[in-house]
Amino acid sequence: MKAPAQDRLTRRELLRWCGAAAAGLCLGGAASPASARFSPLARRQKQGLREAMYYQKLAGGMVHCELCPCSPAKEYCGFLRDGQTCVCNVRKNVGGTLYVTNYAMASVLSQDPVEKNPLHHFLPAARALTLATAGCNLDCACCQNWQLSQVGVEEANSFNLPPEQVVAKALENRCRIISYTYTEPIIFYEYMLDTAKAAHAAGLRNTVVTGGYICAEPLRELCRHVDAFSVSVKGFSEDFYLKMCRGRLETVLSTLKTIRQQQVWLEVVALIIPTLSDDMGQIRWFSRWVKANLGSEVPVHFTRFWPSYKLKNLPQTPIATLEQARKIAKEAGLRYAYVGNLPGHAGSNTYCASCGRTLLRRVGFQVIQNTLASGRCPSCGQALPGVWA
Amino acid sequence: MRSCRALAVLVSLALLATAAPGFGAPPVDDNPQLLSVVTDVRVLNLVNSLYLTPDQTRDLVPLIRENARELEALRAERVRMAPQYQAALENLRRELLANTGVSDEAKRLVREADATFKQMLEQHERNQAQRVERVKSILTENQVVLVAQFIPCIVPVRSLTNPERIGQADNNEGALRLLETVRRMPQPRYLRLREQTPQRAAERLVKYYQPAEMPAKVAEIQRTLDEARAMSDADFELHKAELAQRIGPPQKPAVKGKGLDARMAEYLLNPNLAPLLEQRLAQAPKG
Repeated sequence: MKAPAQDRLTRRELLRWCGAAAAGLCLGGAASPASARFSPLARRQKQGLREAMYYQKLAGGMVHCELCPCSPAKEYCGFLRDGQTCVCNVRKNVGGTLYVTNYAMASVLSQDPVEKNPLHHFLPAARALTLATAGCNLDCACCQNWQLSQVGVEEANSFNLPPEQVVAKALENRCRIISYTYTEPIIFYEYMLDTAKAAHAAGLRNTVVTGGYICAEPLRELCRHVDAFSVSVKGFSEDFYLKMCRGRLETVLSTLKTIRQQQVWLEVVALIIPTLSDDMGQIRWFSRWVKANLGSEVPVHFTRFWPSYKLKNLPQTPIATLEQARKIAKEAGLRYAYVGNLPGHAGSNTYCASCGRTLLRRVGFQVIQNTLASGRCPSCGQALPGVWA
Repeated sequence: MRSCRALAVLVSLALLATAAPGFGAPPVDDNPQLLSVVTDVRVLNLVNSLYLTPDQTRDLVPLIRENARELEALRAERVRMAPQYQAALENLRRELLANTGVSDEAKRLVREADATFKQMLEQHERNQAQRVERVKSILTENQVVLVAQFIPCIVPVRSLTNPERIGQADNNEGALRLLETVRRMPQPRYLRLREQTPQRAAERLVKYYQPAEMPAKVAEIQRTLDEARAMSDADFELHKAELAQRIGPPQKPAVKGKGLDARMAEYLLNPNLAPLLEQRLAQAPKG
């Protein structure tokens, strides 16, 4: 015999009752010590959060990140709604405040020779503690570290390493330098800045390997705490930068000029990609630009491209192309032009710009001979620009 | 009574074997064709890393051809003198077995049998030393260092963007993966598998070690895995390459104890290299 309609439990009431019971269980469970712990992911996320330094709060809970310049190629450049993460994968708007999610969340920690940056005129053969987190503010088709640069903290194998511990590890392993590299250190700006300050306090030096995509104000602040920059120029035209990196060449050139104005040691790395950035006319233009705007003493490295990421269809850069680029740079008046990613090639040595003597001989990242005498050529006494002590 | 000459000739024959293509490839000794391919692969791994210019290549080829001609002549002489030498040695053996002293005649027969071969070998060694000096003058100092540091391998390095490992195969990926897996294991599981894991890892290294060495290797692997688990994330990142080397295949050079000159001779004067370089020259763009 069926109950009267008004006494029967309807499906809606049953579902409502089950939901309330489940919520009650969860709340009760949440009070237990076991579930009071964060999950590993949530714990990492909480650890990495820090309010960003350079941004503006806008109406309606929006924020505008002012660390990196905007690019027309990006869908939403720096203007983030609540809950939205920027294209760098690590800056996120949470309730109208811009947070970085990768603060003190290292993904790479290793020891490398400083020549690997590459920096050829900065403390030769010195050992550097190398630090990187996930993320990047560009999306270069030729990226060699794309597995780490094109993901966020959650997807990378990250671990908590506060700035003071980075410095401690550097000292423990007798590294004279901390290098911020592999991915794009600009996107872990706050972490890098705090670590750099701690490094200086401990007597260590800082070097930054960057694509140079940063606004002027944060760059000037960074220059106060960094001893050398290695800036990668991915190509020599706006068209290249737009299509291949989703960025602007103009921004990178501006960065180069700012670093020189701040009198921080600078070396420029130009990747030569067959069919995309191997036009000798553009290389000549760029070499002349470097001479006119940065000076003839700024070292330029023309590095060999290896097929990777979205450009696996292209061949390696022919050696003759790199040699030609180096020759053009020297003809344009650049005193120190190198070929990179060609271990054993004589173009990776440093020669006296005055008498031609070999001052530093390198094989790969090893310095196998250093004849400098207090930063000068032992033959003619010409000073070699750089940081030697 | 020992025959010094006999010993010298035996050593020379061994030397000839080392000069022949493919010596030093343990698994393929009995297969000359495979030996030859293995040698080609090793030599090419080195040559590709040297970025030889066309001029350097043109200068090297005649030296390699010269070495090849001398080796061929030595082989021919070895074949020619073998019956006579064998007869002389058998005669010497009879006298030694009799143990009544070795006659002058027996000594004379042995000396005569290998005289020509010995002279040719000594001349070859002198010529080879001059050729090695010539090779060193053709290469740049940077290239000479690369040859000195070269560790022969079969599979080329995977990441050619890491020039620190030019010519050296990336053969520690498996070891790295094991370390990372072990670090992620919950403690109860690790304890359960603590003895089994090093055993299984060691099984992959059997071909590199003698049976008597295996228990110590297993113990070393176990210690290393324990150490890897106990490390902080930062310390593991910093030292994982060293840890992987301890549990991975040994990084021994195939040419044990040989100096730069021996490497120059073995690789850059290797007879197999001449046709490969000539092919490259023919394919190089003109001008």
